[in-house]
Amino acid sequence: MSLDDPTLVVRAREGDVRAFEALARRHQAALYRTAVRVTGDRAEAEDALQEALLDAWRHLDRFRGDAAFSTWMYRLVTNRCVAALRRRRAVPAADAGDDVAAPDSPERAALLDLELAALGRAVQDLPDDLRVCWVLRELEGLGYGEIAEITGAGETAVRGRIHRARVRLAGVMRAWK
Amino acid sequence: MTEAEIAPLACGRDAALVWDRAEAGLPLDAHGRSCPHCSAAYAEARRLDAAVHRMAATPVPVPEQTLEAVLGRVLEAARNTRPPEPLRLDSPLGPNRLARTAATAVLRALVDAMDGVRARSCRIEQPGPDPAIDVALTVAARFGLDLVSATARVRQTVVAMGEQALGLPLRRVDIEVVDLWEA
Amino acid sequence: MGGVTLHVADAALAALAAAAARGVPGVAAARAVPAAELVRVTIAVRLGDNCRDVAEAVQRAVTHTLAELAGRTALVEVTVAEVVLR
Repeated sequence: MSLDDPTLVVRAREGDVRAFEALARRHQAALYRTAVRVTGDRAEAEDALQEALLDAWRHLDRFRGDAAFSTWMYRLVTNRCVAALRRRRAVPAADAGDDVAAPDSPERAALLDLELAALGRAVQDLPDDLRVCWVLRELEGLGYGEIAEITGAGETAVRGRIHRARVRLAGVMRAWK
Repeated sequence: MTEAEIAPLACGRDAALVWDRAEAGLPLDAHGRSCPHCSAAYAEARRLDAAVHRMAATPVPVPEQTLEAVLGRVLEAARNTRPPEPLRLDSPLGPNRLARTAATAVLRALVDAMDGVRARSCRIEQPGPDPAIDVALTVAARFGLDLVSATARVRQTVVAMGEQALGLPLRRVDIEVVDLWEA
Repeated sequence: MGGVTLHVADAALAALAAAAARGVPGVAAARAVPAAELVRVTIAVRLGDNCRDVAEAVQRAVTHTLAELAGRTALVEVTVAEVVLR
């Protein structure tokens, strides 16, 4: 029997680990994929997913039932991704270069597709706030309203970030061509 | 320029609107078609959009083992969370205990097994000194169900089968329907 | 020769107690932790079996086993940690 998210959330909040497991299984693939696309690094994505799930378990009492559980989980995982990106930046340039220059990125599947690789690098060069909004909209297909809820920014700010991200990416791709 | 403002194109048009049109595959309007700024922005947007669509369509491999490993670690931590005060079970050989999560799992399972209802919240109090418990359950019900009779059914089942399964007398059983779902 | 004093290590007591518990109908899993005069047994019970009754039955089985096989008089406290739903 498949239970809906609101039912599972109430149960998990009251300590039902099985209910929490069902929630995690339902959402983890999408969250992992988003983390890979935001960080460009599979290992960091795995860590971000794990920490986000632990955050969720510990702070379920903070989750208000009016928003969708998936929206809340996206927020937890993107927060962890941004934290990982900041930690990576704190590392000296020499080390950081190795990780960022050859990320274990989704574009591996299209190894020969140099254009996608260039776009991938350009995405990884976006500032964190632009990158998160852009990935959620352009790769995850989420609506502006939901992205606003996930990031805590207003919808207008989200539109602005996505537009500035697009302009930057287009600039990089123009130069690459 | 604040975060919310997007610099307009040289012709004064909103750049984001032109980009949105390009992304949606809609053609430019009369102004746009003859305006070099709009046309340039539009072409740039279309070019980027094609690459982005390919990127979005490129699947991100999600390895099963990775997810299972993550889930395993998370659930291990979850199970080791400090459990709430257990319920007291009486015995002539000395007191025994029943974990609250076990008791609530039983009561929820009883409700879930009934037609048209799903258990949500389940809170148990054992004020003492005797082992009798007070239960407060919230449920979601199928649209169209007679809620009065459904609630009565749930209460009856929880009292009868709950006492039998837990071995604790149920003193109060409060059932509240908090949500409905479409069949 | 005088009486024999039997020393049984905690680990052995734990194994005896857990085995005795597992033999009780309705017990799906069991483990035990002895600590001085108290033996704590944690069990999983099958759904439908009366938790209170199974816990008392486990107490009896473990008390009996420890007395018979290890010469120990111990207070047994059973915790039903889980009910197996399937």
